[in-house]
Amino acid sequence: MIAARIPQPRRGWRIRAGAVAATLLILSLGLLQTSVFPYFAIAGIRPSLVLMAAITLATVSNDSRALYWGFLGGLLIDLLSAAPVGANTLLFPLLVYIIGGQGRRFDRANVLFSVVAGVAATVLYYPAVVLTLQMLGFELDWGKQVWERLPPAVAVNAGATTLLYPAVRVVDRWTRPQSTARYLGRARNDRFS
Amino acid sequence: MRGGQRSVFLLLVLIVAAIVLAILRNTGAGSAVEATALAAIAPVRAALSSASSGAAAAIADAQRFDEIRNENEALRAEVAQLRSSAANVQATRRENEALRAALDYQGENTEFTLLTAQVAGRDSIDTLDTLIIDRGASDGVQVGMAVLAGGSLAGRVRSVTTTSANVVPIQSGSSVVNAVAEGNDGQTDGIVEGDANGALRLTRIEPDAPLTIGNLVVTSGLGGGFPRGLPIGRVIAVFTSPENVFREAAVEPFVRVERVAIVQIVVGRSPSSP
Repeated sequence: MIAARIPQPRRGWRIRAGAVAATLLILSLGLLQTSVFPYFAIAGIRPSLVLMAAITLATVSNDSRALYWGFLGGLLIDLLSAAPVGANTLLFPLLVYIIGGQGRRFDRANVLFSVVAGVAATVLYYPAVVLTLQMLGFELDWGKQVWERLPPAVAVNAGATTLLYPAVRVVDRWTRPQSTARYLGRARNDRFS
Repeated sequence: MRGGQRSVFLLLVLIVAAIVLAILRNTGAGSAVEATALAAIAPVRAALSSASSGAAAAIADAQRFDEIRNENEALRAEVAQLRSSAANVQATRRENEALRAALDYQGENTEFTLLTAQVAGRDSIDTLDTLIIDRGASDGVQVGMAVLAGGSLAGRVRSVTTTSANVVPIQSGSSVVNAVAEGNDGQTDGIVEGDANGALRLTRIEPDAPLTIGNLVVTSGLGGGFPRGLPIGRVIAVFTSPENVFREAAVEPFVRVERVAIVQIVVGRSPSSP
């Protein structure tokens, strides 16, 4: 009977607000990546902010939101590119799944682990995207587009992940779906303390 | 369903969704949605790009302050010298007229119908170094059109949506332009190719072609691509190798696309032009 008097958690509202916040974050990072950082490229490399955000979320949370972030981010990158839609929409969730799957072996997330994950994602992404684009008919030089770009890209994306980490943690905490059990436990404590 | 199984299921769903989106895009079914989405964010992209371009230029100027000051002093001295010598001014004017005649290119560009566009951003994928401009099919932009910056060739339109277009810069590794180098000793046909470092190479040069450092490189108009006479750059080095029949030359481009914020698209020839 006690449970009947406890108000129901507003999980739906939180999830909707979280989805909106995550979408805005991804959109903002995509716009920064394509409209701002081209003018501040380091060694000709722009940080892959959208991919790094999705990878960072995959390392700090164990739920499947990072897959949605990856899908949404990949779709946005495809829309803002001359590449055919589907290349990054496919690659981003795959990378999130592969890297995030390794992340589940660890109990606690920290910035170092996220940076390592970001580096791993970069190392996988560059060959994968060039291979995908070649399969779609683009003529690209592996030497110049992968081997020359990869070392600076690893450094730039490692730095970007370090800067993104706090922001992703905040958005993660804010948008994390609250479990009913946890909510009921807290409500009971609030009521009977 | 356990967490791991749920993730695998979700990944499969997303992969299928990505494939469906790719098919919809290829069949043109999703182009209206795509155009609407791009049009919705276009003002924000253009504003961000414009602000970033200005900030980058300001930072670059600040870093080059000493250099600019020295350059300013040198220019002042040069201006004083020019003022004191009317003959030099006259010679400069004659040289200018000769260059224009050689280029067959008028400063006012009355020969072509030009459409001004703003660079709204760069390609989201690093390996595709295309520019995105805020003019599209609704403005008359078509695939293959030449794009100018400051009167010189900057690139070629690769793809077009209703409200925007992707431009491949001439420095891109995938850019190929039929060109001709013009000098006092004659003309040299060749092909201008870009590379990933932002430099240009004039290739396929005949061994006995009259090519020298300082020659002006312009579009040849061959191949049905660009109009003839669009300036590209100037020859700064000529290479000959024993294993290659053809010679090559390094070309300093007139346009540095990294800093370009405004471009002009050659959408056609003026009705009054020949």
